[in-house]
Amino acid sequence: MPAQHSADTVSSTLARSRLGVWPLVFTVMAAAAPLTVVAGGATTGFAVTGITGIPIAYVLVALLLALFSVGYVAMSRRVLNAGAFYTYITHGMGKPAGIGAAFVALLAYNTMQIGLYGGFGAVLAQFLDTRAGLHLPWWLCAYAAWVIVGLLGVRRIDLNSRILATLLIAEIAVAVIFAAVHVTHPAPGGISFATLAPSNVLTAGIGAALAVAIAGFVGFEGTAVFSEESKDPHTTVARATYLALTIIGLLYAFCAWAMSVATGPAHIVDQARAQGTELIFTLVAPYLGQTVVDLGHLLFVTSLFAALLAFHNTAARYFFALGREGVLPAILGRTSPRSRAPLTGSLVQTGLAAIVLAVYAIAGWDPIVRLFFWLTVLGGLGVLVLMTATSMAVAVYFTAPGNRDHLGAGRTLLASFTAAVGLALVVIVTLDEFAILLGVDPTSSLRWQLPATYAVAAAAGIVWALILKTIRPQAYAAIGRGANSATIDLRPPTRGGR
Amino acid sequence: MAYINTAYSNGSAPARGRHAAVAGWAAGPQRPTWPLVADDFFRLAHRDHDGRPLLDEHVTGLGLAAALLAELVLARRLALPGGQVIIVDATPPIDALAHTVLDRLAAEQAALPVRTWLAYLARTAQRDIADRLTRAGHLRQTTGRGLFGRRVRYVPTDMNTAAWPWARLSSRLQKGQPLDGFDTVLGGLVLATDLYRTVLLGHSADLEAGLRAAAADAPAPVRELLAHTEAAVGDAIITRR
Repeated sequence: MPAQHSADTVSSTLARSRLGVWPLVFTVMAAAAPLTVVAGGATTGFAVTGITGIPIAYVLVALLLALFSVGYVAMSRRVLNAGAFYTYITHGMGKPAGIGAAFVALLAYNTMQIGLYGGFGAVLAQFLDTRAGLHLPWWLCAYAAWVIVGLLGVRRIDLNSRILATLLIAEIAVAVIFAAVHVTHPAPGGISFATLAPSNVLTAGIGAALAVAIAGFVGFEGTAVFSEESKDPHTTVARATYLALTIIGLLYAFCAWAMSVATGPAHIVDQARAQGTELIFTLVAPYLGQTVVDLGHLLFVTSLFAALLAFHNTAARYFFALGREGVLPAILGRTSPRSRAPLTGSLVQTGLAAIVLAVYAIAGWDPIVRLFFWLTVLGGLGVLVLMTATSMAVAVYFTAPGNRDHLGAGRTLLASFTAAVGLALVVIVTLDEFAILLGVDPTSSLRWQLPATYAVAAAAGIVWALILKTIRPQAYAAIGRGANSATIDLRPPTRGGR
Repeated sequence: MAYINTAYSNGSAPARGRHAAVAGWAAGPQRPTWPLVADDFFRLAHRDHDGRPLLDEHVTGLGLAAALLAELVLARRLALPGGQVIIVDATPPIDALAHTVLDRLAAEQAALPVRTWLAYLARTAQRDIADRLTRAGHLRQTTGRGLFGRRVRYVPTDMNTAAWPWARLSSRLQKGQPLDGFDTVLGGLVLATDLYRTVLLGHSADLEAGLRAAAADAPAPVRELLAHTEAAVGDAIITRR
């Protein structure tokens, strides 16, 4: 059958230029930034929260997110849209909820990105100080990264995927080598599994530990954005999601546990407080050459930079999609014709970062705890809230048997409902222990002020959606379609040529 | 940008270059012309005096792919019900490239979505249309030395011809004259690919409104094609591939 043969040709020709599993894994892992999480997130997590159960929290979160991914990936086969989270929430829970989610996502990803500047600035400044004798303030280093990220964002220059993959593999290799050194040189008392013990789950402060862990995983959810760009949307996105989750989950848990072995579980918090993000390096320094330790520092910096760029692009994309839909001013939907960059979205993100950095620099606040840790954890909380809402929306969406088609209730309804309940529980304990998470006094008003920003964003989105319904019904009708706002966006359940 | 040419603002085509007269909706196979939308989109997407691209390569490919489909839509060979590409008239087009494209479409037994064809045609559209323009004597191939080795570039042989689509669109919009079917598609593609801020330099806000109004009044298959092109471009920006 010649016609059948050529039908294969069109889709296989197109598939050749599309993303396979591994490029997709590398793309999302750049945002998750393994070494940033291991060297920065985990150590600061130990130090600020004072909780030793961080390693088991990484395992728990990986399992919970795997459950979340079952429904999430199933949804990506049904709803064809690069908007992911808020598109799914729109489909499951209606347009006002969708816009509320979009505003939460904008806030969360911008917060995450800006927080990373604190880590980058402080780590680079300290490295230059100790290794080159250059005394630069952290904010100067942060602004240097800001200039480059801003330029790359406007010119739509991505880090070359091969460079990205090479850096990631090197990062992971360094993290694993360091962890191996930690485990083979345990503190007096031998190798202890105390920080991996499930009993940690019942200790006070587990909510804070889970929030620290969630922040480390943010970025993996990017797989679904590429569902249409993947070789086979039915399997590529699913495999890439689970692979990325498994790799980073194992890596985080292993490396965080290894650090606690090297210091001894009883001393991990004190050591982390004393040495900060240097802990992972000082623990291996006596056993490895200075070159390896320097290489580790450099990869820490490049990992932070890759994450900065990835979240800058995510935030710019959100601005762009909402501008294109007519939810936010249309100027945000503008692109740079020559470079295919979401021009205005990118500039707005860059502007926001400049303002926040200036505030921190002028106020003299600590870049690691107050900027890097607080804001990335706050960003993580936003993404956690979004994932909870997405799970609920996916469950509601698949309640309709027509939407399930041949996918089966277990994979769709049951998994997403369980994930929604689990994630909601994490949100509740996290909010309850937010003071521990921030390392502030239990009565500090920051414990509710920071999370409340999301409530404000969600409420503003819902109200704005209702206003749009009256003043711009056309824009309201297109909500949740992102760049596809002009067309139908439901993927036919049959296998098409895409 | 050296868009110096406004000499033809009365709407008459210069003798050279526009080898197909403006085709209205009524253009039929009996007229020995073919609506060369893709040629004019190629001209709009490249600088008239040196052929430098004004638009991202990937987006140019999508715009040209849409223009190739638009030619077949204008010539009433295709219908696009519900975003599926259906051949309604298999009469061979007089243009060789359009003939090839129609043959390729006809080789599929099942109707495929517009988005699939846009992605498929976009891969080779730039080369195909540059070849068509070169064969017709409108472009000349030059090899420039770039930062990363040699680069083939197509330079217009006549700047006036190359600037004509831009001049025609701008002057008609400025005077508030109605656009014909051909220019409506062309203008719609300029909007869908975000090229309008480059093309309608200076007074873009007013002209953009005129262009949007014209595109909104276009026949259903044209609107369908433009919407899918805009969506494909938007997704290309979001996924940045």
